[in-house]
Amino acid sequence: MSVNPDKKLTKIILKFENVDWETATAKQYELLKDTGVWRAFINGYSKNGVVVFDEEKLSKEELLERLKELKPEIVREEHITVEELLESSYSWNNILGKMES
Amino acid sequence: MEKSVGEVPSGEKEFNQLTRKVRDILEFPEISEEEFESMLKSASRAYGGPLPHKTYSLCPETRKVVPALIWEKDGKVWITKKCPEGMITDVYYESVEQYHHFQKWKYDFKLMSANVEGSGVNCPFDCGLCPRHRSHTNLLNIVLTNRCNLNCWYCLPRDEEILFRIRGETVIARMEDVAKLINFEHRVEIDGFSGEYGTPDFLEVLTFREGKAEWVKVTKFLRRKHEGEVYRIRTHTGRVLRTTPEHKFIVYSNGGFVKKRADELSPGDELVLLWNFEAEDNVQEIDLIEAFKELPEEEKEKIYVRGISDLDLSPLKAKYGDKIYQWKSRDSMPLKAFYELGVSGTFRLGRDATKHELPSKLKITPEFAKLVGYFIADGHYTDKDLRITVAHEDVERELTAIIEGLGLPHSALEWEGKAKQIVIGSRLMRLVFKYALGIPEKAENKRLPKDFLRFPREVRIALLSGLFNGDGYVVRGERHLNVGYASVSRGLIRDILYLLASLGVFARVYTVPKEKVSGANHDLHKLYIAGQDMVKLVEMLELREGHRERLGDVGERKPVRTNRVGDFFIDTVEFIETEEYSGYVYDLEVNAEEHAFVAGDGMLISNCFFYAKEGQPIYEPTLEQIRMMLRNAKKEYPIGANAVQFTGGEPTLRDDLIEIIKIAKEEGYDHVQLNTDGIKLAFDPELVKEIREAGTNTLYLSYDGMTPQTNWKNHWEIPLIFENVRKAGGPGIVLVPTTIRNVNDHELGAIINFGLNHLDIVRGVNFQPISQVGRVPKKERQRFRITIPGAIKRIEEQTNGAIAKDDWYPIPIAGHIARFFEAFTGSRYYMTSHFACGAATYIFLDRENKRVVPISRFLDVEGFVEYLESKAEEIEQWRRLGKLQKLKLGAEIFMKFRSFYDEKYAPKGVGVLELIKNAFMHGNYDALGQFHMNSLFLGMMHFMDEYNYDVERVERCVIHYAMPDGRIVPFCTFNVIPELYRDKVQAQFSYTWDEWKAMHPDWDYKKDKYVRTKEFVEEMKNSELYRKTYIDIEDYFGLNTKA
Repeated sequence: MSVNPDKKLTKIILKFENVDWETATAKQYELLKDTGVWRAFINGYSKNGVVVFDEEKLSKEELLERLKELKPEIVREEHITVEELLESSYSWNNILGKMES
Repeated sequence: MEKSVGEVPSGEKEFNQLTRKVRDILEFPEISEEEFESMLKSASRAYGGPLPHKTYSLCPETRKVVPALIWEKDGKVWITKKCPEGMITDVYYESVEQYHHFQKWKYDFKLMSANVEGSGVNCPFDCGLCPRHRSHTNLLNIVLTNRCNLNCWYCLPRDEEILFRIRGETVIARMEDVAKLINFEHRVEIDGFSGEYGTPDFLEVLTFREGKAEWVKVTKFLRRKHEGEVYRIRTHTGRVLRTTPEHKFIVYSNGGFVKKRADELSPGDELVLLWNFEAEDNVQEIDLIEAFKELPEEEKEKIYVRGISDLDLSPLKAKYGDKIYQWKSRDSMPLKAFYELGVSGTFRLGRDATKHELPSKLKITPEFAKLVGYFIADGHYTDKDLRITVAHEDVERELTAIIEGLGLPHSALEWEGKAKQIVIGSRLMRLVFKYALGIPEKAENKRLPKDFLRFPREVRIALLSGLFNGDGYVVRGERHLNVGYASVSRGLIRDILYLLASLGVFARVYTVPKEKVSGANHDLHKLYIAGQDMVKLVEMLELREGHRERLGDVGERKPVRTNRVGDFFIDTVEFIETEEYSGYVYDLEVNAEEHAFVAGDGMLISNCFFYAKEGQPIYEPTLEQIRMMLRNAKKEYPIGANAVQFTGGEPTLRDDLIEIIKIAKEEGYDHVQLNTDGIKLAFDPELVKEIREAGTNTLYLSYDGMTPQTNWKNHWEIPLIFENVRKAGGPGIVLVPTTIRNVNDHELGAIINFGLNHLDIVRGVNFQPISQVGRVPKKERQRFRITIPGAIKRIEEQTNGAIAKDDWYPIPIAGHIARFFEAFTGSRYYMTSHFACGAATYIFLDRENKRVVPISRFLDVEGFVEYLESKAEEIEQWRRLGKLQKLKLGAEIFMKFRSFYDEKYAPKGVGVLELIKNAFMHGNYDALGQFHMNSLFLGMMHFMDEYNYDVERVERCVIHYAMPDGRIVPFCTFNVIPELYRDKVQAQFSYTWDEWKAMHPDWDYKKDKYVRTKEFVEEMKNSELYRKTYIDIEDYFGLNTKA
């Protein structure tokens, strides 16, 4: 496997001051095209989002620069491994009603 | 008919042959923006609402998610959206009647587990599966490898040239230079072939259209890496082009055009080449201020702009201080500082150490062009000036007159024993020649000035006059007379060929190898014009006295002995040689029916269609990753996946395939199928046995038609595949025709008939109407698009009504039935796709009466389901009922079931009633298998593309892909948005070419590829097995099914 399961990824939880559905969708698409971005969700209605990315490929500054027009604010920042991301994605860990909000 | 023999099959040859005649074009209706907006406002919103209906779709180029309208016109259903790239309409469903019928059976299910935190509001960019998804995984796809055993694409080397129109400006450009303008943001895969491409909207090339040379848009610019040979093809008239071995040339044969690969060409083959084309006359001056932006920085510092006294220089004060006042008072400032002002206008330009000035907008007059011609022919640069060697007095006289007329400083240099040189002592003009006109240094690199094909006609003629007067010659023999030009620069000869073509003059080229010329360092290329073309040229040019004298009376001349086809001519291949090459190779896809464009010295070649992956990263998930992907789908809540399809590339290329199948069984999958071209299975009977024993239930076998042309992938191998499956006692086969309008849509009935003739091993036929992923021109969509009702209609026509429109059911009807299955048996399997995604039916073969009976003819399925729904409350209590109550309800339902069943029309000797009862009452996988053994399943699944993309369909998708990054995504996001899903994740989890080779030292890319030999095809053609498979078969529909 060309991806090390212990590889560290950064997860940031964001709030946005200036976002709507249209810009959220477009921005999410732009971010997801980058192979350094593993997950990106921007909710134009609730004005929050989460990005999981590889700082070796995309720096936090560059990421925030890309989000600049949405006026982002980092609410929380975590570091997880690729393995932890995969584990947290599996269906048995995400039964609706039991999911972490 | 063309077919893939003696090569790795690619289908391109067959595709071209099949699409030469267009039988049927689907006309798309026009809709104005106002009509669209108005209909959108009143459109229904909830899933399954009446037409017009509002949904969301994807824009093909900008990838924006936009509102889309599903609407009805002329009996068809259309999808229209307003994208930044314009209004886009495509056909959604070819029968509004069938749309309404199927719509009635919509069924929603709620998946209660997810893989991602995304809410689904940004569908289809939240995939994975998101909490909004409405179907559980019915069939899980896992890509085992992106390696493939078929081929391929074909390209031009990086330094090969094409006559382009870039943003409307005609220029001969190298592929690698144009590639710098392209954003290679897309990957494309057709049947496992992948490539990298951009979709420029500013590029055009010349194509052949009904004999005319016409500009056509380049829709894709592609590249890949290539290590190995490239072919250099030279024609009788001296035209040259280099391509990879597979690249197709347009060959003239029996009054028509066929395509041949470079490595299939032989001397004598007739190629099609450009004779003349219309150039535009739109460059009359050069904006030197703009052109000098390309100058080296040190040169910019030495150039002054004069005539600036009226300019406001204050914006430069902060940077240059008081210098701006000096500049103002001297009415002159450095070019470098001038650029910072960002102003435009007309000025004068000067240079340090030179009094001579030039207007900033330099007129391209015939005199100036003639001087340029002389310089290219016999001139060279020094550090500070331009020098032109003059060997004849008449040349010297003319040149001096031109230079003086242009007001250029000049002098003459003369050494004993050497030809005289005219010196143009203007450093500024030197820069104009070198940078603004882009004339390279050294004789072997010389080219005509930039934009020469955009000069006015009289300027182009003057340029030629200068060239021919400087370095041209006249050859007069007893029987021949021609005008020639010689140069060691092959690029210059190419330019002159195009310049002559723009004036309608035909020339030949002859190359003298350097080895044949004593002391020569370069080949010498001689261009000559004879016959009536020479007369035309001589009349056009202002030739010097010496040439005129030698020409004398040109008299009556014959036309060139070459066949003309409109703006093109036919030329024979004279010489083919190969050379080693390493690096990127490029190709174009053009928006032309002929799939052809002009390249090199004017040769008409084909654009590419398929793409290979040599040198590309290799994706092969590990066994542990595969296990986790299987488990992820299996544990979806409340219902997990029970069926998995291993796909590729070609999954049989994996050495550990058996182990993978066993893992699927260990993880609890009842149904395992392989999506394969079957090639490996044709030649490895042991492998068929092993995959069967390991637990493979079905081969999802590519089968696109009844002939070697329509089914280029495995027509010749099918008899062997069938034989090996029979010997191994399975797996069952589902034939999978990718269905394309105007390509194989005339063979759908014959494919079903073929399946019925092999009912002992063929379990079903699943038609897949083409998904035109990528950017596809409207014309191509109209030509190849087919939808489910379109395919159903053709089947009705091609089976003489034996399988009619009303015999088909929408997929979600199974969702309604599943509800009662669950109540009776506890088995849970909800096929709840969008009603427009698929259709299915079962047909039974009544061997006694040699007739085919669809299930609908003797069983009122819809009536029975409606009855069940009326009893839904009671049935859903089934598990809690006592024995007596169960017996009573069961008997009631079965008795009622009989009323929906008509014995009179049922196929004889099959015991259908018992089969259905078992399948329904037991509802387990074995019962289902029994059902399949005695009938032929017919299915259709229309995967979407950007043009008919409907987010409501994606939300209900039942066919998913598992990815190694922990996500499961719908088929139509995985493949339609590869940059976010398939390609991106495969790139994240891929091995580089070098890593792969290091891990598999014995692996050879070429060994993966299957070469179909002529001997094999001959042997197969004459075999009993082939006869039994294709020829000696029953014709159940009154068709001629002979291959």
